[in-house]
Amino acid sequence: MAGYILRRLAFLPLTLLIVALATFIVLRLTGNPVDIFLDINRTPEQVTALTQRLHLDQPLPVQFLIFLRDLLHGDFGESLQFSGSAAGVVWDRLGATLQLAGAGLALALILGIAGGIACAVWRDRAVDAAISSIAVAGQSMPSFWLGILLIEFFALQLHWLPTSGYGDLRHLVLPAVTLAAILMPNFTLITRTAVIELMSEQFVVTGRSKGLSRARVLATHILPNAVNPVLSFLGIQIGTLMAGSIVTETIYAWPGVGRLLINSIGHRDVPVVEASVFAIAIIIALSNLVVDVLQMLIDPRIHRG
Amino acid sequence: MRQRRLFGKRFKIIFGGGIVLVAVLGAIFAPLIAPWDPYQQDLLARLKPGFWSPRAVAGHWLGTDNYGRDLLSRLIYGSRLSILVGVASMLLSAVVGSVAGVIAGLRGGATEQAIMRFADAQMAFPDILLAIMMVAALGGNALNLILVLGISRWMVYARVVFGLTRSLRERPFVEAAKLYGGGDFYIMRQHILPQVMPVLTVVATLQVAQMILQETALSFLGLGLPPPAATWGNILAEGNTRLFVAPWIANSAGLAIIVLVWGVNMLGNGLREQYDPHGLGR
Repeated sequence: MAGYILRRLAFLPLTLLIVALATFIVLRLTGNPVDIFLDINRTPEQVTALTQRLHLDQPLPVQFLIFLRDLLHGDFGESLQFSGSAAGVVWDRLGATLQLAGAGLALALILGIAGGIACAVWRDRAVDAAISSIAVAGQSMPSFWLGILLIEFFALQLHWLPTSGYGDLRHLVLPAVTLAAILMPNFTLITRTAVIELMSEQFVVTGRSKGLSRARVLATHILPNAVNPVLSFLGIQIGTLMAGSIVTETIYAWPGVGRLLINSIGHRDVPVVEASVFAIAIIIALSNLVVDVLQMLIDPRIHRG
Repeated sequence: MRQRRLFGKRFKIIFGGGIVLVAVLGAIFAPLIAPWDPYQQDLLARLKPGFWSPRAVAGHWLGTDNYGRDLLSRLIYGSRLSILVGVASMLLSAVVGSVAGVIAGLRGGATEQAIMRFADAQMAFPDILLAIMMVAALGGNALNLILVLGISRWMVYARVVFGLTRSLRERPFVEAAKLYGGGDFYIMRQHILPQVMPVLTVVATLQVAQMILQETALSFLGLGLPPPAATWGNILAEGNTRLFVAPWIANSAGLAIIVLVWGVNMLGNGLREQYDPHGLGR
């Protein structure tokens, strides 16, 4: 158990190394960094400062090693639009992003799994048809438009909730619902399939034939076994969750890492762009680790082979 | 994954295909159909609602935006970029992904490990984050959007084609071709591609919908073609800042996106039921 977690932890630096390489290639090698990072009105001093900071006068492998060394120290450089280090700026926004992502994920899991179970239990009936259709339609819905519709209805028409911004719980409702709507259809459909497949398993049939009620079999035989497919799907969806969070934060002016990333691109604040990308990559890698460990705790057969 | 079939596959193919066909024809013949020049400003007719309102200005069926530009014309022109980027980036990722998948499937061993583990790693990384980084570095124009979105999704095809190739590799006709001295490229062209084509078509159709969503999302985030370009994402982003005075701007762009994506998805699902009833392309 501990050994497995340690082995998985050992892969973490490898994942981050790949992210580092991708960031380096994308932001340093796709053109002259001076042109990418500085706009037309640049001064010679700015060019010199950037050349020194990125060590552009060194050979590429050396540049990459220096880049890695700075990464290890969490040193992305000073932010160009805010005062302070880029890592610090990102760190300050991390809480808001985790809050939004956590609320959105919890909502998507609860509603999605409940909907999927309802679909499977009343399979091919009206309930199933209604929920499944909504779920399939939800997959075509661009989240940014859904967010706008929610603002129009709940904020501008009904005045129940604020249009955007950060503050008390009322500010969290619409962003969390928007983010949850991205993931919910998939969770519904996955849960539905998992439960339906388990229903024809022998141990379920046996349970029913020895006189257990449907509800009892569902609770003790089916649901514990349906947790794993849903969990492994959750692992895949963490990336989608973080991507959705970037869009959602932008719609609702939510002061998280995603909105910071988009703003920093607009301001050519490259240190903050790099730090934001890394923060998101680390969140994804750590979440995947947690999901893997949870899966192993629930079903030890998985990693024994 | 079995889903209740509300409509038959023929209905889906015809209806979804019909929506796609109308959108494609509209995009091709945009200059003939659009009632106005999408960039022509009319500051006296700013933010006018469409036909549903008594304040409507004659000739502007869907109303006007903040500069008095005709919304319907901008939406018709906007479909050009969405469809072009959606289809072209799908083709790029399909070609790259299929070739990678076939090579991994045929060669096996270290080649397979290298290609498929790389695909896994990229799968875990959100594609839009990669796209955001690349557009930020390269700048937003149609060609870059196609490149960026194409690269961000190749592994979807690689995985499907890899799985199919590995099962085909053991089949007698492929082994026979190998014994006769057929090279990888020959086997791929003659034996693998014709077999995976139906599944590939289904996956590719559904991916076009994803690509269109990604393109509009990038535009919405301000990373697509810069304003005043008439793209659906740009119109939506502009509308987002005027929700209180002119909600129809954002709504009409959102509706255009969802109708096209829904049509493509329906066509793809209909094709799947027709050509891939066992769900191999999942």
